Amino acid sequence: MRPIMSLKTDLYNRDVKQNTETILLNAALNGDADSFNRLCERYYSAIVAIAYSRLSDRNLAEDAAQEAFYIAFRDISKLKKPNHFGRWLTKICRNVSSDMAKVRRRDKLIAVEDIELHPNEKTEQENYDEVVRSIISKLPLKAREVIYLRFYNKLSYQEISNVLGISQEAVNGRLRRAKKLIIKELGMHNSVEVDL
Amino acid sequence: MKNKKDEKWLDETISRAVDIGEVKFDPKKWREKYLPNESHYVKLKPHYNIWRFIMESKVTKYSAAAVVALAITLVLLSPFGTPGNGGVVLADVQQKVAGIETMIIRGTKTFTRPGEDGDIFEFDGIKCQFDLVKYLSIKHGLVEEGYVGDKLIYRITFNHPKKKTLVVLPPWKKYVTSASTDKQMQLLENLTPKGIINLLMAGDCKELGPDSINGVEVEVFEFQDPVTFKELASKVFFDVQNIKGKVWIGIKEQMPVRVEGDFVIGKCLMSMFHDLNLREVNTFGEYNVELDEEIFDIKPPEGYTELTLSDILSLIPAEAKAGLVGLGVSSCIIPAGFIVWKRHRKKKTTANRH
Repeated sequence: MRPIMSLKTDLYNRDVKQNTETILLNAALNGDADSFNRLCERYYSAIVAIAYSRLSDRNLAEDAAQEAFYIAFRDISKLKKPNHFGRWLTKICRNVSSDMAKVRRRDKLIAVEDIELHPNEKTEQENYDEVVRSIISKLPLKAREVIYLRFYNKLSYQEISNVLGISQEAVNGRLRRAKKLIIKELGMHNSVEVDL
Repeated sequence: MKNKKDEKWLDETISRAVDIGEVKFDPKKWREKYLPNESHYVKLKPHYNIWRFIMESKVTKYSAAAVVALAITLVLLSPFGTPGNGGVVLADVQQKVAGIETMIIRGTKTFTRPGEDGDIFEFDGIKCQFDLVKYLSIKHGLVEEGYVGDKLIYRITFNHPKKKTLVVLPPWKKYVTSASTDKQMQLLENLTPKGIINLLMAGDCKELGPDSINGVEVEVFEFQDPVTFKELASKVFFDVQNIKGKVWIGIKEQMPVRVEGDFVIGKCLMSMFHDLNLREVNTFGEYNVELDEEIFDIKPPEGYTELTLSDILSLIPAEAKAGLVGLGVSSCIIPAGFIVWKRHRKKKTTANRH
């Protein structure tokens, strides 16, 4: 007999999320299509956020996420640590997104022009959000990822840590640095506006 | 940042800026785009040896009783009918699995409504598509836990030594206890790999030949036999009309790798007078793991109250109650419940008079 898990914990209060993820992953590893799809459903928005932080285009980000799922599905037998599924998927998504970003740069498909087409029709708030978005898009990649996971996906530090494969302290550090940079840039932006 | 107010303002500002709208994964479109041929799925390499059940059934939407009763029944009724002696591997398999004492099963169980679309049955806002964990022990019994997302929806415990059953429904803070019948205990014993293979050896089945599943070379058997299940309960209570199933046995491993079963169930109390279909798929599991006796404890959790007949009846619409009478169930089930209820009321009334 070999122990498999601590079963002396409260049976009604255990970490069921991890439990169900393990179930789904094992089922997917055993060839169950529905379970793989349910894993995709769980990770979809986080993976889209990772992709968006590189591509700054929602449609492209969704394409990248779906492509990443396909690669994950194809290579799932290579996954050595099932509890690292999230971070493994993230790595795949980063690679896919980077490739797409390269192609986009090469084809000069930079879809930012639309933003400035009708500046006068936007409210002050919308314009301000645009400024913040622009600042975020210029942050280092690692900071952008953590910003999107935290503020778009509303993930906890623990969840971000699982997705990115870094410690919660590192998540906290990246977030703090990212916020400082945003504040700094916002300050600069405001001072320019005042000067004008 | 000077204070919490500033931090809150910044968080809100960032949240607004990064809001790209809700995104939702569409499995159907994804499959159409990337996996037009679904047979790809069976080429995945197995990672763990884990038994898993995926049960898809089409059931009534009317009653919690149906959910509970079906859950109990599905634990007891695995689709291991009585096919038999089709291939050369079975005898070896029987010997190989004889020493297995415990098993952990993981998987999913889905209840769907009849029809080609197979809509997932919903009850009380809960989609009955369960992630499962089952603990099987020859010594202690069987536990099945059903989760929806991260939420435990039910936990069914069959305590073997005590011959008792406990059903716990955390979303409703309810529980049900009952004595397990000999037939149930017998079927429980058959849920072990040994029992499964014994059942396979006992009857007839059709050998479909060699196949490969998840990269494992297997021998496939097909079986069809509802007799075993008809014996479990009366037709009025649970009307299994047909069962078809397949078993994959790893040639090298000499162990069951996967089991699938399809049930056709007629109008009965269990289905709240609806025709339904049920599909179950099992794949490999972990054997001889250490399972605490505590897991099989049949003490209801603190703060839970017993599920009564009135709880159930209040959820059954008039149409279904009429069905109960029409099928003669009223003579065996409803009065029994009402008698208890009326006696209870009478006692109360008498007590009040004093």
